[in-house]
Amino acid sequence: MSGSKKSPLKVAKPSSAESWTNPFDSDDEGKDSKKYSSSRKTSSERALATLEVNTNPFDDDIDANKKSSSTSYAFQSANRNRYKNDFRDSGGLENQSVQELESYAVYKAEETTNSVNNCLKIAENIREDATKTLVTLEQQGEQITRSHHVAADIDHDLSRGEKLLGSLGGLFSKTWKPKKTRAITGPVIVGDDPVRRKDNHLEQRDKLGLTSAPKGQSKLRTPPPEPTNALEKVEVEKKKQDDALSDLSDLLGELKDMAVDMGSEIERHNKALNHLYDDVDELNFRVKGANQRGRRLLGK
Amino acid sequence: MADQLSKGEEFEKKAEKKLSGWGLFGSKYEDAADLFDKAANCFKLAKSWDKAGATYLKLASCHLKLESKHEAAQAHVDAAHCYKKTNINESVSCLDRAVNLFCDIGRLSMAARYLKEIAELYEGEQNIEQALVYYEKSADFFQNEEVTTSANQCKQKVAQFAAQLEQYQKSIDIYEEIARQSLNNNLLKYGVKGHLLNAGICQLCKEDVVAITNALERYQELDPTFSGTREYRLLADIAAAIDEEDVAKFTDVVKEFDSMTPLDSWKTTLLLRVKEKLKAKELEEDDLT
Repeated sequence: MSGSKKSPLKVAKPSSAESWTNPFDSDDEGKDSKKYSSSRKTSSERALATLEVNTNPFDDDIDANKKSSSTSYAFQSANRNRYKNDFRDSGGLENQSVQELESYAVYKAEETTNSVNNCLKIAENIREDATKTLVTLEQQGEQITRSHHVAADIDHDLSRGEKLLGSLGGLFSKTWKPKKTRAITGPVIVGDDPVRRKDNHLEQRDKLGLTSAPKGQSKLRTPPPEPTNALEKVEVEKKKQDDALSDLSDLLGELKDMAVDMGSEIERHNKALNHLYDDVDELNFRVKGANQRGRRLLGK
Repeated sequence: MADQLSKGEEFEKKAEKKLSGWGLFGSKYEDAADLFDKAANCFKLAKSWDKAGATYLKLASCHLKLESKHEAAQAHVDAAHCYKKTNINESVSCLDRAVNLFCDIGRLSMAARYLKEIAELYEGEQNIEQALVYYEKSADFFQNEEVTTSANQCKQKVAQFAAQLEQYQKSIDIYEEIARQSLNNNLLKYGVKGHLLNAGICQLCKEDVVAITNALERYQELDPTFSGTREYRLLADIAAAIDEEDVAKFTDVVKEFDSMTPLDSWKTTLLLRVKEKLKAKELEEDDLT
């Protein structure tokens, strides 16, 4: 279901983000910026480039030209490629007009928002993979327990076989008793088994105000009013960044919990496997003894 | 390759000869079984899958004559794996027979495993109805044997196919049950919001805004942390868009969610169904005005 299938909702990437050039740049400057953009293409540039193409199946009834105000503002800026190298080609930050610097601030704010969103995306992907890993660990734990149950069943069957082997061997032969070094214990529940908690304490935690539910309520965000000037646009971007960082913080907290749970579960598996190993070793010893007895009986 | 084929045919002839001759205390069946096994292996090496499958079936009948049901079942499984390369229907019928034999001897976990394999074969053939039936049987068997995680995997497949076949309530019940079970387990609790999202999407497909709202409240009671998630926000916003009959809002909400967590094909299919219904409603409204 959630396998490796590509989502049809993903926006297609155009072949090149560098194809856009500034008509006001001189030839050599153009070459220069090309050099920069190929080596230092940021995520925000890629994101901006993707806005042109749309393959979203949910998109057919929305005006293709309708873009968010911040991105349309970004596209209006003819000097975008000068921002990429912090005005190095045009006399540095000190020699820029206020309007130029405002545009630059908006550009940087957008770039930061994109970076934070990319971090969030990566964290979401990690979370998804971690969830799958935890399910696999649970399955593995079940399999170890089942294998141990089978070992215990083999023990019962072997005991019966040993009895039969003991009763064979004629009237005057010495009675045979199987050697046992230790009893087969079967699967052992290690510790208090924190994984299988009988009670779900989420409600109590909620009443105590320990869960993220109340915080989550505030996350039903209302869209901010349309920004008019550069300062407002930067503020809007800051708000977006705050929201994304808040989400990222929650996600990282959850990832930490997942890692802890993975660790403790693997520890449980190791202990369970140690017990299983001991039991299988004992069974092996007894099977060898039974084989020896069988060979002796056949040799008579 | 041809060498192995001729070897296999030779073994098969010998086995047939053994069966038609006389044998002491059923030993002819044992000898024939041994020869059929060798023949089948040769055919496999020669990549003559149909012949290998047919030979394994002969081997199975020898084991049945010897009343070795476990070996007979295993021979049917081997036959199925050979037929899988050439004839899916034959493969399924072999696995079906193997399942019946495993049930006879009480090996239910093996039966469950091969029922799941049949379901996977049908899934590969895009026969969703049959896949659903066999995944359901498999889940039932795994549950009886208390192999919970495998049972849940099969149940999730059932839910997925049920939704595709527009049996939304069945799908909702399964996802909610799995979510409820997962909440009490430290390892599985992280997947709860995914299950609730799937259940919620199925609720959306039913186009009943009241039911959706009630479901969201129920999910919140089930898992108090759910209301703070992006999944909850997606469902709530889509419910609002459906209530307002606003296709544009629906699109924006889905797009925003997808930009962070790409939707898989199953979710996309169901959400497109919701959108189509919403569009149809909007057109109806336009026609009336």
